[in-house]
Amino acid sequence: MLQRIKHIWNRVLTHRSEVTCIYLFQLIYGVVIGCISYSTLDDYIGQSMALDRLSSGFDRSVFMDLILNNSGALSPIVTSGIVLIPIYLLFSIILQGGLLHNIRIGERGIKTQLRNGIHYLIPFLGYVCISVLIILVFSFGIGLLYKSIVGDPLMSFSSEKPFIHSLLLIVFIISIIVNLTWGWSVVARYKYIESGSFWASIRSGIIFIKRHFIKTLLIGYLLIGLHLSLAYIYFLVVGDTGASSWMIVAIGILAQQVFSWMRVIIRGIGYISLDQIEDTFIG
Amino acid sequence: MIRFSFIIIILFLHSFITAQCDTAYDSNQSSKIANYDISVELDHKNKVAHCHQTLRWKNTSLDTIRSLRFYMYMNAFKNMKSSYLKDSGGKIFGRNIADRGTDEWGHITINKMLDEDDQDLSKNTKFIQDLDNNTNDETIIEITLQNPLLPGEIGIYEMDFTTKMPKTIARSGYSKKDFFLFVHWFPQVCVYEQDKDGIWGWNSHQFVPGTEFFADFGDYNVRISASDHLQIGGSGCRISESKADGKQIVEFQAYDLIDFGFVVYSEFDVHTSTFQGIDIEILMPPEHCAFADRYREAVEHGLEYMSANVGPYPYPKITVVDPPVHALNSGFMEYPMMITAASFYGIPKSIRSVESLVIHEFVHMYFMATLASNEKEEAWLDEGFVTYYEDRILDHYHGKKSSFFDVLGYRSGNAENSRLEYIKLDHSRLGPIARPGWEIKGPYKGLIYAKTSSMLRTLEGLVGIQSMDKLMQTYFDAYKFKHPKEADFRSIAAEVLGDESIGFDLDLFFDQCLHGTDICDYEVVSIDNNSEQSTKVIIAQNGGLLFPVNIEIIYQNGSTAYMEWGGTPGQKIIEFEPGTNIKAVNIDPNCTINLDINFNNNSVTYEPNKKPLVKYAAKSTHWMQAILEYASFLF
Repeated sequence: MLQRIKHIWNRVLTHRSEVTCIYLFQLIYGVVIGCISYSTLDDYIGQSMALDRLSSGFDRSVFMDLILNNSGALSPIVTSGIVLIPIYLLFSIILQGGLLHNIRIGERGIKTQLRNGIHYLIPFLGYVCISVLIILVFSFGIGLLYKSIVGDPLMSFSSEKPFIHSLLLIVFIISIIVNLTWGWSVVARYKYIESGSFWASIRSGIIFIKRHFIKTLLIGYLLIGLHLSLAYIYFLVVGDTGASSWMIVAIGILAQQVFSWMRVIIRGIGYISLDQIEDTFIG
Repeated sequence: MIRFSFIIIILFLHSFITAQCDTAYDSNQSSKIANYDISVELDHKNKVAHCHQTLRWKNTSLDTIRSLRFYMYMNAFKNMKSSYLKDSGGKIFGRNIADRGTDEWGHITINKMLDEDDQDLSKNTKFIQDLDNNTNDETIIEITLQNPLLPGEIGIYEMDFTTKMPKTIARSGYSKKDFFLFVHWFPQVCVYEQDKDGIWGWNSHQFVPGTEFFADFGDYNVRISASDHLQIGGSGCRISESKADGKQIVEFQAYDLIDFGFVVYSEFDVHTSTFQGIDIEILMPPEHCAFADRYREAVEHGLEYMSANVGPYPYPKITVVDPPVHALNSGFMEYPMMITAASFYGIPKSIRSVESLVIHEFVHMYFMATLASNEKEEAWLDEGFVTYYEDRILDHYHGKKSSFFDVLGYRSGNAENSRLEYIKLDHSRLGPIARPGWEIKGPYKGLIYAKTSSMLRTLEGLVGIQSMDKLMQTYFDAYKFKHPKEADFRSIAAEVLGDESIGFDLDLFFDQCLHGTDICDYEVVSIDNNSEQSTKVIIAQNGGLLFPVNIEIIYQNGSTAYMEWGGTPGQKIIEFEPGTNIKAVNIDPNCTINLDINFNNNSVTYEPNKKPLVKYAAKSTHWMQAILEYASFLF
């Protein structure tokens, strides 16, 4: 087991430049939003002593006074987010596609990542659409079924415990669907990289999921677990450290970036884990 | 002898077991105008209570009373035509009520009413609609007396009435098969009082949204007979309890209340304790038992703080009812000696919704149950005052910046939240707060609760907390077990604060805040150190409210000076000697004027602290990165 983990980790390190490329792309987008946020805050409260109240930590009144008295204050941030996210998602298909190619074929480097990512953009967009559709249809269907069986959940159940349990069950079922869809889309893309056939790769993905149902789920839940642990540690370590000195601000920023980088690493771990199983499957 | 002793011991034990609280507390605190002796036979299967009531009503007016008026609130839930429901859009608390079945509506019917000469008065009745002439509204009934009541006389009336409980709509009602909240469930006599011009008459407004309590004080003796599988809790002290043949009879006694409510449920977990000699009874469904300590602690905080800062709790007991989730619409409410809370399984301690709700409803035992102002006409006198103390108590025990919630580094104080609810209004220009509940359309809570609370906090900031406490203690002492009005509070305020040279016009303060729609928004417009003639600071009051306020001037050499400003609307230029180097100007540096809708523009500094800007820009960067990573997991 340890050997496998070590092997996966070594392979992640092999592809560190591609992973870092994804991280840097996200960072650029983040910095754009960060600059807009800075400029917005500076415009509205940049000369105010209210900033001192933020030095010791989060102060709801500062932000709410800003928002409630300046209704359009956040719109540059929100508008930029709405524009930037879809653009990034398109770039993401290229970045992830290139990473998947390199992992599957055993190549390295940002150049091959980008070149192959662009090459796969259209077919991989197809996998994305199918995946999103599957998740939406299942989630909507389950929600509808739940609503038709339960009605108004707060009135139907004798206590909120069964209500919460039923919600958890729904979340669990949806998480299974999400995990399997994710596993399918990764394996199908691996197969496409090898065969170049869209329909054959879809079929291979389904066969893979059928055969490695448990393993795929385990990997999915392991990744979710890693993300949740990371979020918990983030709030524990960074949380709300205040801004009493430049040193504290700088440490906070550094920690945030480490966490952002680790999130991309976790994605790499997921891809490589599925690649390992897929190797066995094909073999 | 042995047998006699045994009987004595049994009797002693019986009273020890059933007596729930000390009924020997001061039972003569009010004028006891309306006194009720009620027997209830609950048919839980058919959701009906068959009741008999003896009313002893004292005519304290100078008029001869020829008719009595009663609240018949349960008729508000008779159908969608009542004044309470007709404009509801078919929804109450977000729940659809329009499509309910015929057996899910409620009503109250007086079957018989006899006077002391056994004359049946129930034939000579009519419903009164003073607010909207809606003839379908039957929430106020007038019964003509055969024998008019002379001033000072006491009339005794025997009534048989039936209360059909609705499926829970707004607090009252049943939920599933075994939960019942009986509030506003009996024919309760309205208040005969003098109006502003000193003319006596019935104050008997219909039951419409935003209006609820106004009744005279009196004693209650209530016997409830119900199936023995049910647990019963209520206002007052349980003085006896017996069970036989699958039935139980529970008897409650309470003195000097303006109302009586009770609750019935088969699944309650009962938690009892005593604090400062007051019995605390918490009735909660088993799934909420993890909250028992939070409820108890919240009540204790309320008791401790209010006793120390306003006046002693005037009753021997408080019952907290936590309804099951399916009866959530029964929660969030106050009745004398009994409050209904609300909780949801799993709410973490760092989100203090449980505490703030319990403390809010508990404080109503002072502002509503004891200082029984007319909630229909002057709701701000109870809900607003209650919110002010809810804020103070929560902030005192849980910290100013985290008493409302404190989750993952994001936090807010309760008073802070009240102020934000006020400034969130669209906004205070919506209308004055001192007006009847039925005139307030729109954000009732933001106006009545939050603006009043912010006003009182502003007053506290202007006069100091000691003076504020003295004002509230004097007000409580003077008007407990009475029906204080705005004029009463203002006259007490003038009496208590007037001597302390508060430095502003108190009448103007109340006129502006209660009857006006102006806002307060101080601003430091600019600091000009470079002018050759003089150093200039421009400040402004962008609203119309006129409060005196402190201004902090911070010089480049580090020294600080303070000056007072009357807060006159418009801009004001403050001039200093040429060459004076001012680093920063801060109006109301301690944020005492809680009605100020924007604290951010209260200051300008030449040396702004940019660290938080960088920190939050970096946070935005990080959150954007996280969003991109999670959003693209399928890409």
